[in-house]
Amino acid sequence: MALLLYLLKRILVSIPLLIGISIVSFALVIAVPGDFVDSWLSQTVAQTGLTHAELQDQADAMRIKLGLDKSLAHQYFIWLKGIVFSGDFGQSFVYSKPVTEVIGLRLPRTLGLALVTLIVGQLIGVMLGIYAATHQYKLGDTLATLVAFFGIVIPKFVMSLVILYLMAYVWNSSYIGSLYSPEFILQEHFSFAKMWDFFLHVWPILFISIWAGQAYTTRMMRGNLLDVMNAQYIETARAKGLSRGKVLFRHAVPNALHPVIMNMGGRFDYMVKGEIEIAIVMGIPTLGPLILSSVTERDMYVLSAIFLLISGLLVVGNLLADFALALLDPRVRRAEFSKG
Amino acid sequence: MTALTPMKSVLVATVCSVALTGGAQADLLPPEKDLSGLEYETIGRGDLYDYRALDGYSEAPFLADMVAGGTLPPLADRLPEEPLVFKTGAMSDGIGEYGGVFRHVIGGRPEGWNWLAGQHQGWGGINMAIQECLVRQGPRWQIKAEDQTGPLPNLAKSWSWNDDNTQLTMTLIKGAKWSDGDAFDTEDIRFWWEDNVEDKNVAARLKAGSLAPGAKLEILDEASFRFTFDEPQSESLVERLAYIEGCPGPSHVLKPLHPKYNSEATYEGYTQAMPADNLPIPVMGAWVPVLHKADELVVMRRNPFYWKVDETGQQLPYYNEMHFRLSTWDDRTTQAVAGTGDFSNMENPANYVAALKESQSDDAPVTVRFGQRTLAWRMSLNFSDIGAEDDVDLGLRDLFRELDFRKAVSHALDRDAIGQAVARGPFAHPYSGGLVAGSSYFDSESTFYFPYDMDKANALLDGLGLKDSDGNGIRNMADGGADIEIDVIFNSGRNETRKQLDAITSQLGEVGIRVISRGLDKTNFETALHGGAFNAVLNRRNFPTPTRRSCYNMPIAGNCPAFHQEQDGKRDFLPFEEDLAEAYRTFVATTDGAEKIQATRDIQRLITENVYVIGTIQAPAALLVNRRIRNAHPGTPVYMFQWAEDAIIRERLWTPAEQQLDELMPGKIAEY
Repeated sequence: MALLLYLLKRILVSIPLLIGISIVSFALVIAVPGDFVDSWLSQTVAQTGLTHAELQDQADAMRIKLGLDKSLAHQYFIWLKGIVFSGDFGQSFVYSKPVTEVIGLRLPRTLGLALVTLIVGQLIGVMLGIYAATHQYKLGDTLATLVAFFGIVIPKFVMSLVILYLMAYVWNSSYIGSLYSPEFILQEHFSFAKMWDFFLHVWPILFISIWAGQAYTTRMMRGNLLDVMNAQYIETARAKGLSRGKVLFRHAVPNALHPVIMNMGGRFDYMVKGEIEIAIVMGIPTLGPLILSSVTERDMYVLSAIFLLISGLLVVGNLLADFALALLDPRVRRAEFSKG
Repeated sequence: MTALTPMKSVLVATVCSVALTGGAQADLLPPEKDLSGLEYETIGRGDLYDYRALDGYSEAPFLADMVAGGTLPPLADRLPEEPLVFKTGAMSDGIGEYGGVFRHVIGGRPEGWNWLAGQHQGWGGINMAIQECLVRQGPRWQIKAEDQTGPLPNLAKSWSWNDDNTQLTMTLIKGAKWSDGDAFDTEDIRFWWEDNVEDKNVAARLKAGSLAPGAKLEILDEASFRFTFDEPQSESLVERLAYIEGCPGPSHVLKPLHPKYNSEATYEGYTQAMPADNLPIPVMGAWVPVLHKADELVVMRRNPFYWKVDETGQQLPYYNEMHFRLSTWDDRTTQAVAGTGDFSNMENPANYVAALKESQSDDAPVTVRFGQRTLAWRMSLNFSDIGAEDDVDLGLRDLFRELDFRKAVSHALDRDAIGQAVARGPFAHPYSGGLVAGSSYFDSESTFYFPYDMDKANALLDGLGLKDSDGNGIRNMADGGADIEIDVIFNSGRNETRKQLDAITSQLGEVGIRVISRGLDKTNFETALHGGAFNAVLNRRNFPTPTRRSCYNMPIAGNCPAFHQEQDGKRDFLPFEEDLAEAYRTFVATTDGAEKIQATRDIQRLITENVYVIGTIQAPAALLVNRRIRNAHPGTPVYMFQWAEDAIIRERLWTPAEQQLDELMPGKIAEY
């Protein structure tokens, strides 16, 4: 019961947060000078050689048709009303399609990749952390620390650029800038060959995200475990004659894991952002390049919706992490209710 | 029938020139540095293609099988009476072999396929692959200057003017068919004109009333039609009937969806009549879009009714399939270098050396083909008061109208240093404004140049009374007023412009002029530029021929150029601007080749002698073309009369059978 109340309270707190996020998302988007019609004008002039003056009437008509002539508050409320009452996030100006359709294609890719990198990254991080802590100051510890160090300090976009350079200029790889090779794009059914082709296209995202993602966890797990290993109850367990493995995996590791789990919500955010950053550099059609093109082309409803959805997912992610922690550690839910 | 390349002409003309008419203080532009290996021959207007019946025709083998199986009409019934015949002599690698795939990578996405209603298909060559237009501009780059009398024929195989140039009669290619087999005829022209161009509810590319005052269309028969105008027009008007304004659509599909013919239809619905995912659609282009996977791929298959052939009678195109990978614009170059895309433009000189090195390795999948120097950068000073925020701006703009000030700025620029800042090697060459050196119309003797000379720059500025009256190292306005600080806007997405501006800032600082650079993203840059919200702008403005990008370069209308727009409906011409506008009018009005050339020389002289813009450097652009590709003609410019995707004539590109890539849909054609 306490757990359910705890969950309900967290959900209720999230609602005003999401409304606030929607306002900030929209405000951020419209804060960028110029609108879609300006971008359309700029692109059409460059591509066709027609002049601004020749296109001005068409641009004015387009602005009216798209509702961009209305006040910003008006535009915001129409947008919000659509989301709340009909789940309509508006229309993409660039794709001439509902935003949900445009994002719906890419969001699962971003979330799926982020989730895989989160899980694998955390597992590797935890294992490397355990290994480093149990081999303190030995070669293995130094190597694990070094791998973690580079994962933290090298920006993901730099790693992406290096890999992109190698793929394009050195290896002349054919697995660039898409999710599948053309022959598999047309293949509707699942096959291992298609899955392997998918992996060959997205491995840079997985590799870089996992490397960067495990780094912090490795450091955290190593530090936590070393602290726990020095705790009194571990000494007691050892004194009772428990084996080294039992002490480590029954008593030390579960306690050292708490902060790692607490951090998972935040790590998901990190993984989503990482996936977006790498995909932009690599040109892989997940949310990343869509965010970039929406900014440059002022596709405002797409951009606002992406911000809102990602923020919403992060709120949910944090909520789930809190829930998991409360489930794991009764002190958390007790502490929450003792506050008020 | 060949002529010297423009580059060779420049060299000869420059060496031979002894005296100049006028411009006593100016030099001639120095001869261009050679771009080693760049050689091509210009050809006569009739050397590229013509229309005629051949003794026999042949087709791609799988189409022949379909004909044999009764699923496709015989080739003779699919071709027009006199198809367009590409001449072998103008093909750099000769007659091609059928089969294979040509792969594009583009950053755009198809809005929809109804180009009649102004929808684009994603740019980067996809629009041009399906839209065939009345006349054609792209391949004109290869035609020698004296034959540059106008656009090349296409769907309209010929046209003529009446005696007073108020009527233009055009004749269509007879018997051509849309890719679904429906006849292409003047009903398509009537629908395009009356129900799209002239219907103000439709956002057609060619706007109602914009072709010429009082333009009216009259259909004469199924293959000919006539435009009548209120005033005499010239051959230059016909250029408007090329891509992207003069491309008819399939009336047999669109008419039933147009509100004029369907009381239940709406204009919004009409615009979306051919949505991006709804394929195939009928086209006159060489390939038919048959599959669109959003954000991934557009696949096109050969059009079995295509109306162009080679001289042996082989129906074109040679490639059975064309792909457009839907990615990003940056990825287009990456994939071309990696060999997973077949074609890309390269327009940033900073990348040239690396790309050239990369392409020289034996196993590199891509070749880098440099064109003539057709990219040019210039700083334009705003002569208009539009967009001025205060008296300081107004004072600056008054100063800009002084010829001596513009000459001083030109003399203060070390263009060799600017060029090397952008690209090492022989790529960059000084530019003094006007037509670029790679233009067929470029004439070195008409090109004045005020080269790097600090003494002259300082003397001219002193002569204008611009002294550093407050001793802070920056000259002040003549009345001892504000420091001369010029804000220069530029597109922050273009690194080569940023590098040039850094060099210019330093060089103008040496003569006591402070430059404040203001980078804007592409959208805001264009908005500021056309709203007059700048004192100076540094940008790339290609000027290959007087009728392309005219508004950017000459005062041909109230809003042209952006750096001297009319105010409150009044023109405030600099002394030479009226002559410049007149030279342009002469160019577009005349059909006489010699008179056209003289007009371009006048344009060039007036722009450069009066330092209308402060040119910085000009450089070639490059095409990245996969090594498998044949008939990609050397010297094809990225942009001259049209973008390279048109200029390179994709329907006659080919790949030897042993190097062809597997098709995704072998043996298939569009099924309607």
